[in-house]
Amino acid sequence: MTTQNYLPSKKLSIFLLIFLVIFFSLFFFNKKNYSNNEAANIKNISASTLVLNDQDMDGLYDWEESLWGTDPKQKDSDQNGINDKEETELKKNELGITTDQESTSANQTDQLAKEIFSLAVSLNQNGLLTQEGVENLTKILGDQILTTEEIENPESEIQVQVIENSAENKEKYKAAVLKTIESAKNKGFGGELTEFSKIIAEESDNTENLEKISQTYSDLADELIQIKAPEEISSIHKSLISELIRTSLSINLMSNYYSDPILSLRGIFLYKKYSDNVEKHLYSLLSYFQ
Amino acid sequence: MQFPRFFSGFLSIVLTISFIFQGMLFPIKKAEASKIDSLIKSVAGSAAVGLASCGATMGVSFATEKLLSLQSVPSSESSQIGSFIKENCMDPIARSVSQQLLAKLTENTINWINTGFNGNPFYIKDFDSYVTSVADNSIKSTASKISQSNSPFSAKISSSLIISYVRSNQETTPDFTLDKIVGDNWQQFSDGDFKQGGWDAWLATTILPQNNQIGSSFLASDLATKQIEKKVSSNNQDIAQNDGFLSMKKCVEKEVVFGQEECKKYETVTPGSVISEQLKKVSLTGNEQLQNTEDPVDAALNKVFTALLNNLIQKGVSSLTTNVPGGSNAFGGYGSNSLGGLLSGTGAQGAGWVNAAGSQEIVLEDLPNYLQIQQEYAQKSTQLQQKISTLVPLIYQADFCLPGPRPTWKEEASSQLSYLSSSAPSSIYALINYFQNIYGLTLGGSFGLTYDPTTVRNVIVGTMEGRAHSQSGAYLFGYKDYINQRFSGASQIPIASAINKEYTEIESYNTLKTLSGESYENAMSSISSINYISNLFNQLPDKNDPTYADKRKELQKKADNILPGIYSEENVDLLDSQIQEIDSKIDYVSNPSSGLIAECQNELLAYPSVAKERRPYPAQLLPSGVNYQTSQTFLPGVTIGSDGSFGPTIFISDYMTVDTPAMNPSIFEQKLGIY
Repeated sequence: MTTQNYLPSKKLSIFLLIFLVIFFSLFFFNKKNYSNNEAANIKNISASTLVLNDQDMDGLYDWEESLWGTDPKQKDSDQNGINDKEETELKKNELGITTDQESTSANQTDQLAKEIFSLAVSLNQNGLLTQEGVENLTKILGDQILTTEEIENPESEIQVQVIENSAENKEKYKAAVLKTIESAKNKGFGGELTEFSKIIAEESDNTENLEKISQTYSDLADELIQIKAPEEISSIHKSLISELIRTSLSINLMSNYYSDPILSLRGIFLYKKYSDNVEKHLYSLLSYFQ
Repeated sequence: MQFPRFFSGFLSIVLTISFIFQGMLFPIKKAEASKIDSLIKSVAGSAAVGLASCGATMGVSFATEKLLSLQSVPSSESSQIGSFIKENCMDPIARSVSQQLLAKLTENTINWINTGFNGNPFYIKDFDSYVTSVADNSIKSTASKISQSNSPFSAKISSSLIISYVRSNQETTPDFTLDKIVGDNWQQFSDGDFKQGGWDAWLATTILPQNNQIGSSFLASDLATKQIEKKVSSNNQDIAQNDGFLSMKKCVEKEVVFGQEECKKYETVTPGSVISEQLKKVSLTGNEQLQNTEDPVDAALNKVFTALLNNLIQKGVSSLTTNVPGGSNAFGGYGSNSLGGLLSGTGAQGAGWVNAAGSQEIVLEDLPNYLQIQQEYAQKSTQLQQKISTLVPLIYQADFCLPGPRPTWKEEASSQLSYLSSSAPSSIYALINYFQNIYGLTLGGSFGLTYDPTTVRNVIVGTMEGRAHSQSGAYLFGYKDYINQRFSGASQIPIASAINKEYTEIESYNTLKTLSGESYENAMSSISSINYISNLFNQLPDKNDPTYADKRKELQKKADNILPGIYSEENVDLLDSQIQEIDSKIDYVSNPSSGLIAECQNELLAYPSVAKERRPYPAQLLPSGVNYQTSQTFLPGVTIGSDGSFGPTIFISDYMTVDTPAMNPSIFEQKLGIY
């Protein structure tokens, strides 16, 4: 087992910091639920210290020792001449445990599971897994899960071919756009929620169709870029392309439903935002064409 | 990007609700659906817009259709559609993904535990069952916790939780597997011989609760699992009467039993019918209303997540995280904190609450039979509590017979010292007075007020505990040393180890008693519920009546709601065996001729020098006519401190010292609660 696996990620470190501030703030403003004894103990620790604490410096974190049943204050708990770290490693080898197994997982859900677990065990070991503490922790976890980067708006990178406003150009534009959109629709454009619902309802881990739909958004954006837009509609045209690209990426995130639900959840919230914009622009086009 | 607060709260809600309620709490919003029914019919051709069909005519797809057909859509209509999509399509999807997220978190965590802490999957023979049992325990723990919350939402959440879960999960407790892993030697291993089975057995024992006595007794003991059942069934009548929702109750009378505060009497604060209405508002609410009620809902649901986390600790690695008293037997530490032989024969077969009655449906014609079983169960629960109430004081009595402090004195004294130190004031002057008053310490030297009181305090406390500076004269350190020498195993009377073993099990007995009390309440509640259902059953019209079938079906539904709290004959049998075990334990401790107490008293006669140092019996624990000693000092004539009349001088710095006077052990023992 490599200790690296238990080290908090950068994100977790920030999260821990926030957690601590809120935890301690709430803690000291709401002392009635804590004894003075706990208060004194908490003053001198931090969440990262909790997780990374190794009192006897034997290479096993205290929370790990609590799981192994070894004494966190003694390097060699059973005093057989082999320190606890080595002893657990030896035993794991003996049992055929391949330590690499641990480090293979890298997705966000898996990482979060580890982080929650190690922190929860540490809190528990130190008597801090109080109701209030965990409530604060889970509240922050909720925030953390939903905190994600916006997909960068590609609009500034998009070069739309603008033509002058005229009835003829408008008709040409209309025909080209409708043709392109109809073609995309036939390839699945707009069917992402149906497909995603199907994955959920059928408990299928086949996200191939969803990924294809994501591609139709991207392809549609590519094709729309080729269409010359009258100046009066060009900004909407450009925004539509931009939002199609972002929607495409958010659908891609959604497709991680089974493997990495955190990503999937973030994808859904992003999808809602960007697809709303796509919708809005489609209605704008409709008004324009009428 | 940080999503708005609403989404954060919302996530907390869906994270938990979707995992547990599985859609029950958030049905398709019929009330709102009806409002825009005609609109949806016009665009979708159907009002039944559910998850499976979500998106077929919604959102981008709908807009595309309209664009291609060049049909205009009034802005108010598109806005309503957008709102409908949000509530009926995106939300269910988000909830489903949240459900998947929590399931995945649980699965990943357990996988990780498997890999990192036992690595070899064969320890968990039936992984699915194990994961399920984790969820199971989560539900129980959750319901138990949130039922006690002050939030008006918690009770209903609890009841829905139980009903929903029970209906979807009829399962049994995991089987004992230690024998399969270790072989026939498992009993020797369980008895403390680490060589029998070694690490493999240890891992199997600690990771799987059904493989250790504490875990198995809790799994097996119907009493243990009744923590949740109490909440279910103590409100069964409410559930039946109030659309499945519980009344909120508060404790109006408490009692202290062996230092633990328990509720003796509850009073209904909010009737279930009111809660039922509130829940309808919440579950049918739109975004705006949800936002308004975010805090109370959020607070209650955060408790659910709390329980989930606790569950990972308690269930996944519960035995591992339980510290073994003494700590020196770290790798082979199993067993010291067990319930001994109690329940050992019934561990694997115990019925869980989810299938207490052994079926998924109550047979209405059998209601009298159910009633009788509940009555028996209630009676035996009371009996078990009474037996434990008899047993525990006897163990205390046996322990007080032994010379020297109680077995757990070291940990408790350290804890008390730590408490005293944490209560120390933060200003330097107050700190000086505080330590002078408590320990008679004198701060001396040319220290100034610039010293950080926390540092001073920590140094002093460190010395008192024996960790810092002048260890040779540290109080608790030295005291422990003296006590260890005086009352070591070699100088103890022979019966001491057997009595100490019983002493360490007191906590478990008290737990069993508490749980038994909850089971009693539960059984009584079940009795009320069955009576209620029986009344309704008797009022059913004649079988030939055209309304009979519908009314019976409705009643069956109500009856099934109370099923989780109904005890079976097997549960009664289990209680019987527990009562017998406690009976035999009482005899083992108190039999006038061969019990531990009698043997202890006999041995004291044989070891008069040791007998002089035994503790005084608290009068209330003694039978009348038994003499007890009045001195409580274990080390008469010994001065705790350094060799002289003063204790060591603590050097906080070159300029600041603390003089520690020698201390009479009786004061020390009094301060630290050593008895």
